[in-house]
Formats: sequence, C-alpha cells, structure tokens
Amino acid sequence: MQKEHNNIDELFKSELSDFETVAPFFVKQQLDKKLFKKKKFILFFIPTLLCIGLISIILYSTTNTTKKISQTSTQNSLKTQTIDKPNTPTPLKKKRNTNANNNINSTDNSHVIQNSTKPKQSNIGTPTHSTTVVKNNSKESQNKNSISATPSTSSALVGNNGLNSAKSKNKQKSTITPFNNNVNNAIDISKNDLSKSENISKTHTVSIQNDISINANLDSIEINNTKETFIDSLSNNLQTKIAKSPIPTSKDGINKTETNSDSIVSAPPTDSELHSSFTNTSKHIGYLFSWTTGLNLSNSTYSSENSLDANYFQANNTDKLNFDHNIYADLIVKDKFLIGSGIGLSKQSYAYSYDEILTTSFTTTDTSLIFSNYIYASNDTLQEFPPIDSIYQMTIDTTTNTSTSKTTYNGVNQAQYVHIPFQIGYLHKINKLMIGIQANIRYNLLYNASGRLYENNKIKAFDKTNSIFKTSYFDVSIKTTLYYNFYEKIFLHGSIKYTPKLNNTFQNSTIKRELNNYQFGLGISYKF
Amino acid sequence: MDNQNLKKKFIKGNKRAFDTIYSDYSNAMYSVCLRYTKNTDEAADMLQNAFIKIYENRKSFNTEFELGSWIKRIVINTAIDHYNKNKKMILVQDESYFETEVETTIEVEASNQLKVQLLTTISLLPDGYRTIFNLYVFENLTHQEIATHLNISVNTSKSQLSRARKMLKITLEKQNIIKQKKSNAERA
Repeated sequence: MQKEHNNIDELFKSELSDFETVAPFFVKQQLDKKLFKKKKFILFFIPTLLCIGLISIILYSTTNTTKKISQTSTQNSLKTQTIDKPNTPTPLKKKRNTNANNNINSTDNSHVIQNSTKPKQSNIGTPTHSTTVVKNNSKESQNKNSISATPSTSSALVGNNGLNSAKSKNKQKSTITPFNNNVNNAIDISKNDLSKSENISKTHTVSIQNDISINANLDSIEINNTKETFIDSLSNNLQTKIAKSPIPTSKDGINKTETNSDSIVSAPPTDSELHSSFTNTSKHIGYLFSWTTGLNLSNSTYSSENSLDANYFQANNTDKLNFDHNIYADLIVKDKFLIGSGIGLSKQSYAYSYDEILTTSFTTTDTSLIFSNYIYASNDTLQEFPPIDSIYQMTIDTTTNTSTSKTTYNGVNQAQYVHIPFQIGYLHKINKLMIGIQANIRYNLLYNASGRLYENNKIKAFDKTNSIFKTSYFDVSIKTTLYYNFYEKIFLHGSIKYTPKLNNTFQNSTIKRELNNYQFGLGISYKF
Repeated sequence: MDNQNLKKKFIKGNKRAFDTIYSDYSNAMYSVCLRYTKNTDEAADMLQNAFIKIYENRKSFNTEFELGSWIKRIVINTAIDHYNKNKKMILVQDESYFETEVETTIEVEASNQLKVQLLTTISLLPDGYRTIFNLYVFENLTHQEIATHLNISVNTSKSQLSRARKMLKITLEKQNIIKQKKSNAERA
C-alpha cells in the first residue's frame, strides 16, 4: 500500500504529529524523588511513629500502674494485715518448705507477750495483692497459719491457737506482700508459752520495730520474680520459728469470746493460693507477639460507567494466589481482651490478557484528466481548421482504506503494600487451646507496582510512580484464630481472615476494582 | 476528577493531580522530545526537565486555557533551551545555499515501522537542522520566530531548513522508504 505526499514536510507532519510512545518509567521515579520526596517520607513515617508511640505509651502506663499498685498496697497492707497462726496439731514444717533462710531474728528482748484472751493473730507482710481466702471449715483454719501485719501498733501477733476460729472463720484473710528479706532484721518474733493447759492459747508476736526500715526495704522489692520466693521464704521463716517454739498442740484451746474484731483475721493460703495471688498481676496484662504468613484468595470485581469495559476486565483478568506476612505485638488485658498493632507486607496480583487493536485509515486520491472540449482559433468561428488546443477536466477519485492490526499483551499486574494494622479482639482459653476473634483496620501504603493497563483502546505500562493501584488506602477485616500451646509460652496458630470489598483499589482510572479477600494463615506466637 | 478540578488541584500542588497530568501527557510529550533529540536518554532527560518546569511554574498557569497546549509550550521551550545550551558552534550565516526546491510528489510504502523510521531519520540530522525543521514543520513557527528563538538570522533559518529537507529526502530514498513520483509533465 502506497501513500502520496506533496512534499517532505507533509510526510513528516502527517505521520508524526499524532505519534505517541511510552515514556520511560524512571522519568516519573526521578520526578517523584525531586518533587515529592519529603511528602513520601512523611506519609510513610508518620503512621509508623504514631503506632510505635501508641504502643510505648500503653506499655509504659500499664507497667507503671502495676508498680504503683504494688508498692501502695505493700505499704497499706503493712499497716493492716495480720498473720494469724492458730494452734495446729500438725507442725507447720510439714506443710511448708522449710529451706528458707533464717532471716527473721528472734530476740527475746523484743518479744511482746500477748494475753491469751487476745485474738491469736500475728501481723506481717506486704502484699502486692489483697487476696482474700475465706475458710468455712474451722478445723481447716486451725490447721493453717494466717499472716497479718499491724505496724501501727508496732506489734504483730502470731496466733498458735484456734481460739478465734469461731468468730473469724468466715472472714479470714491473707494478704501477703513481698519485701526484702533484710526486713527481717526489723522483725522480731516473740514466742511464749502462756500455758500448757488446753484452754490457754499461745500467742506469738511478730514485732515490727521500725516502720521506716521496712518502707526503705520496700523500695528494693523485686516486683515480679521475687514475690513468690519472698513470700515462701517469709512464711517458711515464720513457720520455722513457730514450729520451734514450744507451743502445745492443743485442739481445744478456743476462746470463743476473745476475738479482736478490729483485726483482720486471715487464713494462711496454700502454696497454690500464694502462687496464684502473685501471678495474678502479671496475668492481668499479658503480651502476645505473633508472626503469621497467609495465603490470600482474592476475588476482584470490576465496575465502570461503561459496562463493556467492566465486562472486558472481568473476563480478561484472573486473580492470582498471593502471600501476606504480618508481625503483631498485642497487649492482652485480663487474659481475654486483645489490642495491638504490627507491620506487614501484602501483595495483590492478577494475570491479564489484553488485545490492542490498531486501526489505521488512509485515503488515496487519484486524479485523472478527461477530455472535455476542443479550443479553436478565435477567428475560426466555423471550426473549419483543426483545434488549436483541448480542454481537459480533472476528476478526483478518493478512496479510504482501513487496516487493522491486533497485538495481544499477556502478563501480570502486581502491587505490594506495606501495611500497618490495628486490631482488637477477644480470646477464649480452653486448656491448651485458645480461640481468638479479632477485628482489624489496616493502613496500606504502596511499596511497589508493575504491569500494564488497558484503557481507551490503549495499553499503558505502569510502575510504582504511575501505578493504577492506589498509593494508600484503609481496609478492614475480621479474623478468627486458633492457638495451640505446644511448648511453654509458645503457641502455633492458624487463622482465617476475611476482608470485604469496601474500597476501589485503582486510582485515576475509569475502571473500579474492588477486592474480596480470604486469607488462610499459619504462624507462631509467644505469649507471656 | 473533572478537568477543572484537576487544574485547580494541580495548581495547589496536589501530587495525585500531577500524577494524573503526567499519566495523560507524558507519552505524547516524550514523543515530542524524541523529535528534538538524538537518542532516548536525551529525550528522557528533556522530558524530566520539562515536567519539573511544569510543576514549578504551575501557579502561572491560567485555568481558563487548555492544559495540553500549555504543557506542550513548556516542552518546546525546554527543547529550545536544550538546543541553545548544548550548541557547540554558532551556526554559520550561510545564506548561499538555497537550492531550488522542486515540488515533487512523494510515494511512501505504508508499513507499521514507518513512524519509527521517520523518527530515526530526524534523529540523524545535525542538532541545528533538526531543531529548525521541527519548529518549522511541527510547531508551525515562521522563520522570523525561529530566528528569534535560536538567536540566528532569518536566512540562516531558511538555509538550515532547506538543507534539512534535502538530507531527509536523501536518507529516506537510500532506505527505500520514499520514492519521488514523476509529475504528469515528466510522464508526457
């Protein structure tokens, strides 16, 4: 097929004036670097910094509150708690581990002997938690030690008799506070054999001689780990002392009328109770770090003002399987409620098959001269002589031709997003299993993109800089997770997450793409 | 984003608006740049500089006018600046070369590669020839305007254009892209 042009200028003008070719990707990248570098930086780091800041504040405030509660209750309980040691037929040594240090000195000079008519109580202790143990069985309470402290009177009573059990059996309390073992220097245990008679109760007094020294020692309390060891050692020390004292094992020495109602009478907790009372605080706020990798099953829906375009996209794009990686740091409140954030990387991709149809139309013009008439000399009016010239008429024959060429483009359009999720949830424990339901909101920031887009009968290549995918958007999802505690604090988990289609994932395009997403994840968690 | 809204957002410096404009015009402007340069790297640099100017001068854009023409004008100015900056020798005032240009019809074999071949042929021209040819043929500037822009005389512009045309013809004929069609008179 040949075309004709009158001159070289016309040739170039007609062929190249509407010529377009795809600009290189790197030009836009460099433009963005030069013109929008600062904005990108802010866009990425502000949410990250906010996230880190929020987590730090939560962690700091919860840790600080725990410490304050611990210390306040320690000081308060020093003034209010008593250790009650009823007379027990079984030596305490057998009930308690007696390997504690003999840090509580027994000084005869500081012994305070209480009258047997007074309640059989001893005061000591600095609990972090006020755990109330109520015993309804008076016999049982007789077999246990109760520990309490009354520094305001500078005396503590260790009752070795069940005299008060009749009145106090329903309101026995044990409040225990860990404090440094050095405090023992300030505590003296008095023991006294008041009577060997069955009706006479024996009272051991723990005298707190110096409040200041106790309070000073409180400052050096190890909040978490020393709680149990201290209490064990402290109660063991007391028991050791008590056991060593010549207390008769009277069962009948109960004075029903002589109970000091002002005192808080406590039944001594068992080892498990002690343990649980001190692990309660740490369990109140827990942490869960988890890493999840998931397989995404996506289902795209395309829409457009032009339904033909939407149908074309729906028919020619096929969603692909993608992976999604997440790291979460969660705060567990009351072992049930979960709040947290994290960071992750997700990918969207679909295979496309576009046909670009190029239609070129051109016109060919043929001109021809057709004889019209003869011209005779002006004086040859009769046309007797041959004509001196001829007249030709020009005819123009224009034909329009159209040629069509089709090019098929196959490939994959893909976008990678860095996302920052915020989640809240609920956890339910069943033995070694834990079921969680979480609601999640994510901020997605485009990290990388590449591919081609079919629009207005043209194929446009794109990368991150001129991507059809949105540079940032929010999405929401719900997730259910099953955790299995397979080793100590380590859990294996599987999750199913559903992200409904809420947003158009394309930008600046006449086509809308909405994404329904199911994610099946597996991962590992560390809970403490 | 409608056109007027796009213009307003662009003037305010909205990145998304700039991205849309870049997406709409970059390919066409890159093709313009290719006509004024020797190779794709040079064209990419020119395109980048042009869009930096477009962004930096966005506040001088009047929304009543067509955005495309304003952008094209900046791209052409960038091409002229590029030429002025890089010209190593002053064009000689050569007014002697005015070959009589015979108007002959050109036959072109239509093919998919024709546009690319023509573009390649332009890129083979010396810088001065190429710039003047482009300004005259594609931008419809007069010799007077070209002379003002490039700081040359009108006659120099004419002679450079004439040489450019001849060089293009010879090159295209050698490559069998065009053929001179004989006129009716010659046929007779």
